[in-house]
Amino acid sequence: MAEYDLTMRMVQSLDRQLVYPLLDFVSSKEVYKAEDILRAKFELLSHTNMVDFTGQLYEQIHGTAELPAEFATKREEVIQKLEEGEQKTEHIREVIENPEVAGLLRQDKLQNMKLLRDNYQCTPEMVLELYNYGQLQYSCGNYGGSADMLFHFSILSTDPELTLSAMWGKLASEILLGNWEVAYEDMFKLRETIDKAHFKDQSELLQQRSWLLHWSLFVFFNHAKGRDGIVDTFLLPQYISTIQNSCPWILRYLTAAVVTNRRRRNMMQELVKIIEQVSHSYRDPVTEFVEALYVDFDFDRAAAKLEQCEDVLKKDFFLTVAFDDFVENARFFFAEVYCRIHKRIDLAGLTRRLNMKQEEGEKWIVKLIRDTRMDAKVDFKDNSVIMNPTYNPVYQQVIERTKALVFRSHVLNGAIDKRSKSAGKDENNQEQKPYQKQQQQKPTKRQQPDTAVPVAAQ
Amino acid sequence: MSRFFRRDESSDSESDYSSSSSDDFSDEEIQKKKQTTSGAGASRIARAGLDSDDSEEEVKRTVKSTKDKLADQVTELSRETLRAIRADEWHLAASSFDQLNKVVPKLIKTVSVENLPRSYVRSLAALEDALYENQKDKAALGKLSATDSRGYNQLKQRVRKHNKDFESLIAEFKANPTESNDEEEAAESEEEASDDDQAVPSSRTAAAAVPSASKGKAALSDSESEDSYWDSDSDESSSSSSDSEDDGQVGISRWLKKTTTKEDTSAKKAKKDRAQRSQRAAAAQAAAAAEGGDDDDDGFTAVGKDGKAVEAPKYNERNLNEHLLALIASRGRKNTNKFESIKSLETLLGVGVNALQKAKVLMTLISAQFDSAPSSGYLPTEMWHKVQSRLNELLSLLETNRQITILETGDSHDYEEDFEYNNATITLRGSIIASIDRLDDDFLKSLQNIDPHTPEYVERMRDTVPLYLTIVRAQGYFERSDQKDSLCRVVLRRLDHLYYRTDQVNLHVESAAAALPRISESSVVPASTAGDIEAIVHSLCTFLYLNADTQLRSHAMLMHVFNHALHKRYYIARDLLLMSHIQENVHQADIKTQVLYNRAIAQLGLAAFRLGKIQESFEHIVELMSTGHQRELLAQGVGQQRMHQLSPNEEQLQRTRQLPFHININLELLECVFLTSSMLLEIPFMASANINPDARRAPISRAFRRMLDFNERQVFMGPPENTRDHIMAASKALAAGEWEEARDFIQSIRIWSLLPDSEEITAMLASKIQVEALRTYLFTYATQFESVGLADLATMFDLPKGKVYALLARMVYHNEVQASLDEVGGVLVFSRASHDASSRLQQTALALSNKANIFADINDRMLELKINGGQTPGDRQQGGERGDRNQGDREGRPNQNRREGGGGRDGRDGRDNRDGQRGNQNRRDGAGGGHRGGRGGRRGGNVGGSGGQRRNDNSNN
Repeated sequence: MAEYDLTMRMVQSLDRQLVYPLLDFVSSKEVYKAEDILRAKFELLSHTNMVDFTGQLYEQIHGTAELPAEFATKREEVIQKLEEGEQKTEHIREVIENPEVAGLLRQDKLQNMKLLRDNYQCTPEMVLELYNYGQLQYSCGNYGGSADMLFHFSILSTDPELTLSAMWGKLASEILLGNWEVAYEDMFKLRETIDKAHFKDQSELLQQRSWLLHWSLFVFFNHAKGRDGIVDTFLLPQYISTIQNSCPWILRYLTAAVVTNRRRRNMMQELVKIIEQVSHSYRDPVTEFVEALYVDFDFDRAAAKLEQCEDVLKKDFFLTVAFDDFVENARFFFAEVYCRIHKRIDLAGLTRRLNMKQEEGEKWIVKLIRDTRMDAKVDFKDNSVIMNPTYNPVYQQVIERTKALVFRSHVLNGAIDKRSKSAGKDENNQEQKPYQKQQQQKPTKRQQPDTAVPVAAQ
Repeated sequence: MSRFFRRDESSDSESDYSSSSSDDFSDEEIQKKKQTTSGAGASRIARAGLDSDDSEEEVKRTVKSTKDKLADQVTELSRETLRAIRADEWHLAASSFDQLNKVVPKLIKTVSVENLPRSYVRSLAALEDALYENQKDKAALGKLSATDSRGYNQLKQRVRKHNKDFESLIAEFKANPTESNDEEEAAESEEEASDDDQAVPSSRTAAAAVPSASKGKAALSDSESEDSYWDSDSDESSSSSSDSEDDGQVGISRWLKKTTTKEDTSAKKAKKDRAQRSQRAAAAQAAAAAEGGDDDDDGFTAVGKDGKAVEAPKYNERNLNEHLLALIASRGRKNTNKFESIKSLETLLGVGVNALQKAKVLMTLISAQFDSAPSSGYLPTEMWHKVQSRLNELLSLLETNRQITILETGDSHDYEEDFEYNNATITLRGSIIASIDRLDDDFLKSLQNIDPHTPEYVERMRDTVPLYLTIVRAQGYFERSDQKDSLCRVVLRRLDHLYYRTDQVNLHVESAAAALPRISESSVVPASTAGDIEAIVHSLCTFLYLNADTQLRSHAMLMHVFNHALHKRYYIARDLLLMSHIQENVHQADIKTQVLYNRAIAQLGLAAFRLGKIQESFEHIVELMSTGHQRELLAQGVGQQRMHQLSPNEEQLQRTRQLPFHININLELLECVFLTSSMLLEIPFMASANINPDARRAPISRAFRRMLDFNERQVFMGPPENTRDHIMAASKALAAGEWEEARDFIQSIRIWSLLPDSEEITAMLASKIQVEALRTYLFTYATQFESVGLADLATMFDLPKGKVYALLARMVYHNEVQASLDEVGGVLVFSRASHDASSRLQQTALALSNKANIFADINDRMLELKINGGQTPGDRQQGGERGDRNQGDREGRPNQNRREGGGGRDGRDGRDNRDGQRGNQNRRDGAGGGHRGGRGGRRGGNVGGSGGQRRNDNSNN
């Protein structure tokens, strides 16, 4: 089942240490050979400073209890570096952690720097040390410490590039710590920064965005409000472009998020369009399910794909949690489309397609009808569901179309009033007249359809 | 040399020119030429030879200055003096001499002594002779009348003193009496003829003329004929002066009526003058020939003139450079015989001893050969072949002699020592790319001019492969010598030869190219791509993307798109095109880019069609086809009515723009594709007008509607003959639900066979027709049915039941028909609401509400305009939002036509999305090929930014 596994693709856009949980997960699902994964883990961590852990992995791979000497020396070095960093940043940390100072800090970074330099003898170099120390700690797996250091740094530093880098570090630390609340906020901060920042090279922007897309998966699928957040973020035009550009596989997560988020049903149309566009370069059961359901209206295929999704989702690090949710909601969407199209539905057929047992299916459908207050009845004689499709009668359409007019006229009126008040006397009054006339006309226009209502109703 | 000639020296070049250029002309032309130039001479002498540099133009109308008037006066008076002397009327001679003496000082003030009129000097000389040389004996004196003898004596005293001032002039004149005499006197004689005592003097002149002519003859070698012509003429004129006025002089004499007689004389003089000059030139030539071209500048002109010296096999490696320089210098001059130069260069080539010399000669030879093309036309095929082989020779020379490079900025190396060239690294000045460009352009031009339906065209086409090979070799050379600019150009040339052909054809060409001796590994086209045309084209394009300037890059990109589309790689082609963002500013691009763009779009449309993407195909081609100018847009000829509207200039331009026939996209095929896709979209849409009144008003394809209307108005319809008839017949059948008939019509169109996978396409079209027929059927009869059986529909349209089911589901879901499926009964049940929708009142109400919405929109916009004072980015943003809202509204409408709304939206969003997609494509390329690297990434980024978030970027920037 390695076919639909995205780990390999994701790794490109993730930090080493963020990849670790992915690998860990994959090894438990036995998608790849255990030994390969061990090696991959070792490779992954041998470039970090987590010497002890790497050593363990080495032992596992080689089946020996003896570590090469280099591990010991590296360990020494790391400890020494950590101590150095500790010393160098001691002063500035004390200063910053002082609540008085924290109270004095303002929005303006230059001002802050000046304040620190004048009053507390903190130099920019010391601030930079914070960054280095934070990085070191992160590399050693001390995420709490690194998060703190990098947070301080990103507040004090005036270098936009390093600040951005520090923010990434902070986000990674929070993710690895599992502080989803904080990470959630950090992520949005980062998104804002990226959107505002100037990049020399457009490809850099693209890269930053695709990183953000990947990293945010950790947050979105773990945070309580994540399902909303992911839909909102990923469907922003710039991120849709990024997905199509550099990482179409993210579409799986977006699809899953949209499907599991029933409140955002209107997003489905948009998603379908994107899936259609990308279908020639990326497809997996999750997107194919949506495609079959909304593009081809091939319910049999959709059902088959839904079954496949099960396997895919269970082996996906991020989606495995959302599996039940996904299936439940997918069924719901399925039923919705089905009901919308059909007048009379064969119960047996539907339950079969929904991959449910007869009785269970009946229950589910009845529940569905009750929950969504559809105008439908179950006919047990024929073993079918009879839908009473509701069509918008013409008068309803007219009402809908003209509904907004009142509000718009009000807004218009308000705008004109504001303008005439602020702009002064005579000249604007003259200009205003035509508008008022038009507004007077509009209600009358609106009334006509209203009068048409009873006619149509009769 | 006579004084006369010395004075003319400044006009030497002119005389050389006329005498040498006369070689090229027929006798008749010579005559005319001579006469016109003699006209020039005439005026010169009419103005008493004051300014010998005068050009012909000044002759025509002479506005005389005081200077000229004085000169005329002097001439007149001197003539009188002379006549008087001859007639022994000494008192007249004395009085005119006196008058002369009054006028001459005035003239001397304006012109120098040397420039005094000839006749004056002559009269002085004549006086001297008469008075002192031939002293009159007493007896003769006694015969004179009293007044005459008094005048004689007066003159005798005065002249001697007076002539001292003009001694040198007179001496000169006397030293050369013959030439000046015979012409002057010939002229003189003509005047004398009108007086009655001409006999003696005229015979004297004739006598004088003959020896001079014979003298000339003796010296002559090849300008004999013209000389004799002039001789006889002078003889003739001396004997019978009245008919001596030549045609060529009529115009001039008309202008100078007052001085007709003088003009005549001077004309004669001019002729003489000509004769003299040609004699002299011939003499010089003879001398040059004798001395083996070892002359000074005179000798040089002689070489250029008729190549005499050139023929002398005097070349050796030592003087090669010298000759080469001479030939280069003569290049482009009017009197240079191009073919002679080529011949001599070819001889020179044989002489060259080493690579350096050969390269130099070859470069000159190639450009000389190009020069031989007629200025407006193209190089004749034969010559083209020669140039090509020379170019190949040069390239192989450069291949074997790596130390030589030819650069536009190289040294000219015109020193002498290159025969002892020792293979040191050296750069030469020249431009290979220019030659390649020229060669290719000439090839193209010839194809433009040859009728494509003749065997000649096919014959000419055979040269594509050798030309391609030359280009490939040149590319190798530029790569080795690391000339980026030229390399880009030559790579584009190569691409130009590849992109429009299918891989199968290119494979043959490429295999020939692969057979070339591989000199070095090419980084532009890695060896790994051998045999894989797509990879070759890709690497060529990639190279240009990375290195070339904007224009070349966009050309390469469009060619790449074209090539992808040609090979049915529609998605890649589309993404590439959209990624380039070229569509945004193609309207400002040069014509060539625009044509290329149109071609790429057309090909893209064909590719989409081949994939069965009717909607996309239609959208690509519609703009091109609905203008009616597709010929011009694709540079494939000019529409017939247009031809008359164009000015000759525009027409000429159009012609030069035309693409050769074999590159053309088949317009009939394009039209067929366009109409077929129009049909598939439009017919169901028209049928849906039954339900949705908007459809009637806004046609998808106006061109198609027009055609259909026209077709329906026909009173009598025969069976379809051409493609268009077939499609129209098919459309009608489709509208009537006769899908089988429609299918047969469409499939019987023969032009499909031009598409590579015609079987597939006709099959695809058949299934499309089935589907659209079903849709049309449902739209048309929706109001008539309560319910329709799925099975019936399936048999009716010969579709599998599952497909019918999916189709209906789709239509139901998108509210195209107001109906729902009954799964148990297997029928489509139409809802009652759809019947009601056709009520007139309700439709009017709907239309009214629509209008109210538009009204409100306009109000909003007006207010925005007031507030913002025009379109600002913010405004645009709001506009976009409003657009979305409207769309939302429309989606709420059950009765709305989904295709229209959805289609438009798809189009817009689709573009953004595709934008994104392209980048992705490129990025992957970058990772895979390793070529695109940064650029690909950057482009991707561009795109990433561009799609939806352009607005964002704007605000950031």
